[in-house]
Amino acid sequence: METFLSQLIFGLQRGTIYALIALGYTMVYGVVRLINFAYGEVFMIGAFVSFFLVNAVSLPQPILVVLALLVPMVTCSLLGLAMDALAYRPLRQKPRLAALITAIGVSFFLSNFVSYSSGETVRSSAVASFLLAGFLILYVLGVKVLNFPVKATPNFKPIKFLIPTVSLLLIGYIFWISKDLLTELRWKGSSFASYPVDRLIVIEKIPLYKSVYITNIQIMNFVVSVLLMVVLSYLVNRTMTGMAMRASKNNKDAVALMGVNVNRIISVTFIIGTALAGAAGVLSAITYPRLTAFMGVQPGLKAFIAAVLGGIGSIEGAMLGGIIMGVAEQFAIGLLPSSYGPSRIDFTPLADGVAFAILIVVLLLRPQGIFGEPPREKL
Amino acid sequence: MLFKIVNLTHFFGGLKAVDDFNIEIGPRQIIGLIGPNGAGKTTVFNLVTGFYKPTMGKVFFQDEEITGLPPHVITSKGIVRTFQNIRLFNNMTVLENVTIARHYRMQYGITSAVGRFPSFHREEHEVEEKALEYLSIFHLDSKIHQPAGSLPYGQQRRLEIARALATEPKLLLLDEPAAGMNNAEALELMHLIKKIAEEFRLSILLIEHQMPVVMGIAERIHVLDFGKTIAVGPPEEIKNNPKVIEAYLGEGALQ
Amino acid sequence: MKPTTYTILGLLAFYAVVMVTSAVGLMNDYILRVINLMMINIILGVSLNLINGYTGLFSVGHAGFMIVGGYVAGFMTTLLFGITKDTPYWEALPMFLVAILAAALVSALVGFIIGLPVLRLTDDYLAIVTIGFGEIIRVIFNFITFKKKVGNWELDIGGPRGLLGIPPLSNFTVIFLFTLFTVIFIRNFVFSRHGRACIAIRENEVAAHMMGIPITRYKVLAFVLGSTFAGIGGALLAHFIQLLHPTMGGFMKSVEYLIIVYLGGMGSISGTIVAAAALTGLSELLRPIGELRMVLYGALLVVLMLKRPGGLMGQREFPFLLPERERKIYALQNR
Repeated sequence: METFLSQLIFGLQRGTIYALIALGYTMVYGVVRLINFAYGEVFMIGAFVSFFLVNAVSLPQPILVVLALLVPMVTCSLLGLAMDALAYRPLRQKPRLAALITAIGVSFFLSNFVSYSSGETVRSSAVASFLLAGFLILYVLGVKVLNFPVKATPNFKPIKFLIPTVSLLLIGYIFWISKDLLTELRWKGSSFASYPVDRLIVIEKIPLYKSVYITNIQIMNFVVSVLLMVVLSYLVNRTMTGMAMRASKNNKDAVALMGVNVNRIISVTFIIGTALAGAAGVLSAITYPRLTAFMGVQPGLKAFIAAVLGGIGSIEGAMLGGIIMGVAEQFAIGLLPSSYGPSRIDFTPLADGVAFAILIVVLLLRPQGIFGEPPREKL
Repeated sequence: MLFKIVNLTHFFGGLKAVDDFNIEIGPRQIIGLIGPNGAGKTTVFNLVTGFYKPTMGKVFFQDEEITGLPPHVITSKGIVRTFQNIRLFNNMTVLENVTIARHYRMQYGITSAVGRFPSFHREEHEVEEKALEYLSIFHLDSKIHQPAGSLPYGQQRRLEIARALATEPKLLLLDEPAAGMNNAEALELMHLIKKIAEEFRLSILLIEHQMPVVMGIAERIHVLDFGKTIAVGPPEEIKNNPKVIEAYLGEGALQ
Repeated sequence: MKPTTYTILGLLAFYAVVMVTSAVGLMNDYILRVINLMMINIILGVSLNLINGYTGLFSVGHAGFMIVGGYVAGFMTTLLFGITKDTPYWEALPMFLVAILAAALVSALVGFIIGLPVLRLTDDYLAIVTIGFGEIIRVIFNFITFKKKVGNWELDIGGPRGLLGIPPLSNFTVIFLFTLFTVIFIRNFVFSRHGRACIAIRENEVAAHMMGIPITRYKVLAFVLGSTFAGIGGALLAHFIQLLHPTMGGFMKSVEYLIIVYLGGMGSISGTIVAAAALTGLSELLRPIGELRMVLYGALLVVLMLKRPGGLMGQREFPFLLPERERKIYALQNR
């Protein structure tokens, strides 16, 4: 009973993180039918941004906690905007496969970029980011002021370059302020960066029932996730933008005919999804403080499976699917023996397979997921 | 009886898209299926050809029940259809588009294909000849090596019918074959359809919006509105049926 | 002379040149190594093109199938047959061929087990399931260890350390012949009624279904065939680089094969051959910049899809790769 309860608490904590990422998948899929594989990488970048910030800035603890959560969320939503504008929007009228391939490319690019920026190469990454941003600024100035290298057309909108430039500057800045710290740290191969949890919060165990306890980090985790989900429900169900979002799920063309800017709705969806994934990254980093460039791959996949389990496109489904996934995985870790038989075989790595077992079962029995509607082919 | 539908009913969620539809088609008959937009005509086609599974009702073909069989099996039984929005294999050549239709009649296996055995060469040669026959009926034989997607609209429509015929069906379901054509082109197409129906001893079930066309060639017309059959009869009777006129009112289709 | 004769002569000349130059010591070992890697990548690229390019599916787990084949063959030659570096080559070769066959069969079986339930659903699911497959394969091979007696020592092999000490049985001739076999097999498959059925599914699934093509059967067939050749490629690779590691079956490696296919052109064997050779060569040249290569690969995939979705070759082929009838049509089209 006691182990059951404490496993449940750990499982719920794991689950809320999956749920937050799954929300991003499910919302974007609902509106544009795209699996944005890069959410796992957004999650990772959220964790790293927070890591840089907490290491580089010294502020009173409560302010730092809030900033450590909010700054990554904002950075990640900028990243989401840039991703959508640069990689996905141009392909919206093309076959869906093209966007899917692009999504793989984006995800691959992001994780390897962060991996590359480890150790002594961090300086060159910062410089590269600044140079790229500078190039963009020069390009815009050149076109606008000097008509070079091409003549400015009425279609030329410098504002389009704002988001990529600002995000590049931000990335470069983050690298730069933390360069001294980072040259000593590595997250390549088997090395990892440790998230400085103690600068944010001192871990306390609060006893609940006999030997069952809950930590203050877990409480923070639950509070933040629930808060974010409540805000999200409000946004989706009570605002005009949310209404347009839900309507876009059924028929994008009709929504466009009603005078709604569908591209703007899609951008908002990306912003929300990536902000949530960023928050999940921070929460995860505080709980499991081992940061690597590829830390997002597994949670990203599992969160996607959670979204499929809940019924892709359904917001409640993503929340429930995430929780189920987290709890199931935690119980698998708890139940599998870590040292079995005379040769002391450790079975716990197999817990990673639970997610995929769930996926196979869902696909065989109910491919549309718990809350999903059965797919209707459009002929 | 060649083809029979009994009490066919289909729901989309709570919406009754097709409500108790019945039809009988004999050998070498041309039957029209008309109705305002969204009346459920194409849904009937989708149910017959196995793209949707009907909620209720049965479909019989040559005294055999074929309800809910997958599309490729339906085709091998002898029913084939065209699509409202043209669905060609755009990057394949005109000739390949038609040879695909002969796929299920070909025999050679993967080993013969990979080893280039005599059966491969023989059957490939036969299928090409056969495909050329169908293409020449539709005056497409000068374009056999062009990608199908590069053909002009009218020829694409014709190619789609040629491809359907190449499966050697006994019942052909045409979904608005004259859509997007002007009156003269549409009438020409209808003459062609009538001709091939006689030549290949086919039955045809035809969805069409251009009234003069359907009235001209169908011997019997079924009218659908909101999934319900509101009238059945020969063209002259349908033309003057008040229920039909009411269903179409505002669309101005019966002028 | 018929054009086919030129193709055969060209291939013989290539084989002879490599054999003679390496025999007389003109051929640098390093260059020979790169040529062999190129050919193994051609096997993997062409087989992935059958799945992703010709049939229009989206498998992201090709490296997973590759490593399954590699492990099966590697376990067989090292553990089952006990082949070591010192075993005479002519004694080891038949056993090696058996191991390759087993690798192909196991990969095919795994492809079938994964493909059958998933390919009935919409195509997105295949992507996610194959990524998941790559990850689960990693978990499994991390987990599986074997004991092996070498002299008086008992060694643990497999597990996170990977599989070491695989005998170097893949030489130029073996790899060359298997590459030839793969390319001819897939070319002949593609230019037949079966290949046409796969392409028709890519072009328009609904119409293909209506034209009497059992679409699920052909999707599974293409997926299984592709996986089979991936298994063969894996077996060859394992006995060429002489080691296997669980991470080699993961997502990262699969993306490299995706890039070969999409850079070359979806539905072009010629394109895949060019891209496999070019990228293998390039990655050797780019070795000094190491990981930046991976960053560039990611960016390349995005830019390709945005700016040149047809890849280098689109769906065209070099005339010498086409069967006779298609070559005539090609000549007609380009007159």
